[in-house]
Amino acid sequence: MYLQYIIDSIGTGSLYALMTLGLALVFSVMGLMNFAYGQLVMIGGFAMILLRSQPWWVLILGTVVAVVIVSLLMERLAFRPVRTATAMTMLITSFALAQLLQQAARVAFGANPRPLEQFSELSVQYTVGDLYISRMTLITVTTTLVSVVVLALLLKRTNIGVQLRASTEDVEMSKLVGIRSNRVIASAFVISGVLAAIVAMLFFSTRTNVSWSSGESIVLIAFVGAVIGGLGSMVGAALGGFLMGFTYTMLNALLPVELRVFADAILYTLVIVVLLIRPAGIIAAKGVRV
Amino acid sequence: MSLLELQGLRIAYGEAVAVQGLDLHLDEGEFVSLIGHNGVGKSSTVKAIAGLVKPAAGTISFTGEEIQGKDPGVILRKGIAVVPEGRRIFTRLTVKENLTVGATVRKDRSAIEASYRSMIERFPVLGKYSGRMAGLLSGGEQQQLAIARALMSEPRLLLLDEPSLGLAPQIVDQVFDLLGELRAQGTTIFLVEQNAAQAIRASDRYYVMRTGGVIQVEAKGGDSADVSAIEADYLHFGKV
Repeated sequence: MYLQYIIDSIGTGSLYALMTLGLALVFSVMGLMNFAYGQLVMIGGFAMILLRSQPWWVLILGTVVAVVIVSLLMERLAFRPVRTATAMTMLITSFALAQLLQQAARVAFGANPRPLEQFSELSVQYTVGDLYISRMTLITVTTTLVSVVVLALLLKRTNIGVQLRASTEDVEMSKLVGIRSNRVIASAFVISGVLAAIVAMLFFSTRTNVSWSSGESIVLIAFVGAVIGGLGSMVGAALGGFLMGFTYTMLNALLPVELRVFADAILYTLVIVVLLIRPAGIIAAKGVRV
Repeated sequence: MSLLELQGLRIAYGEAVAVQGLDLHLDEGEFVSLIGHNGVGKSSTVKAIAGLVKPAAGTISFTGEEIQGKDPGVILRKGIAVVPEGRRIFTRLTVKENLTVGATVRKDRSAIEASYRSMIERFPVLGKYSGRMAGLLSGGEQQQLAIARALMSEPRLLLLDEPSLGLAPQIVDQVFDLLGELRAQGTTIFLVEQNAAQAIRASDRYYVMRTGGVIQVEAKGGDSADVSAIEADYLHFGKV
């Protein structure tokens, strides 16, 4: 039974790890905690509704393209003009942008949640001995692993990846070696957008609707995951996000029914405990100001 | 025409004036030093030349073209590479990645690879540790890497800010030997240093800067320079 819980928790943990990575990447490059990141996932959800009747590959491609375009517009129109401003200014800009996108979605798609027709082919369950593994869990874990490997290869093996890593360590020095910060930051927003689109597809595939407020809980999870993992560290972010999702699902499975309403409270109490023991996160990056 | 020329350079951070009325010039193939105590505005001068600080007044000309206030990337593409104070290598990148990132402004991949090969020939320790995280290198090795990284852009002028800072005397000697070799190979060098004696000996010419950024001396350097007399003057300036 416990093994079953662990399998389910790994599924949620993987999804949360992906959520956290997209947020942490932009933070690493430009010190911006982009609270509008959750709205990218929300926009991905609405893109899925609009493209639901299309072939699966059109739905996937269309969702990714839509979210990446919004992510790039975010960078160009909202964050680039305040790039040299204080961290507080950037933070407030991201809050304002999150509100703007939420309200725009509310106007465009209505105040009530919009139903998303279920993907029946994803609800198939496989049986291995006494264990049940849903196709969705397999897809989530595989997608996360592939995304993490691709992201690692991108950062490690490509010129833009090396430039991204150099910029995350020392922005001024990266300018002195000729790295174009606009290009590098825009690349980070493209990658963050792709990750948000993937999160949207995995997240909403198991939901029945998409709402203008859907992004709120996602950005909270990603933010807390990034903080407990260690801001500025990609590995830390993935780990923090994974632990959040894993612990949350385990709590829901293991707590007595009457205590399950306290799962959130217990989870965030654990977060506080982690931060009391390791204030800079589990894997702290050097020189990060929170 | 000088390769680099500063005229009436004034750098201020709000009310605080770091450099006031600085004039100096540097010709192709020369090794020129700017010496002075901590806080006289040497690093601000380097930052202004590199494009990190916008001067309040005055001009900085490189190959006759005014470059003051331009972006660091633009200035690097024109041919000025910087070895900054504190080395500032990318500690979480490997040695090889640090070198290739130094060639960001170049396009020809095979030429970059050839430069990398010649760089690890010149700095064998960098070849030995090419796959190692640069943060694991010793201070002297990191300084070699910082210089090699700057050379990877094939600059016309190498601008060094306090390369001896924080290094053991023996390693400082090695760094100055290396600068001497680069000079002999025709690299134009502008060195900003507190270590007056060694900078003077290594240079063709040198300038002394004092508080307020006024140039007091422009003199011939080299082995024959009377370092002790200059140091006495230089120390005197420090007490003003």
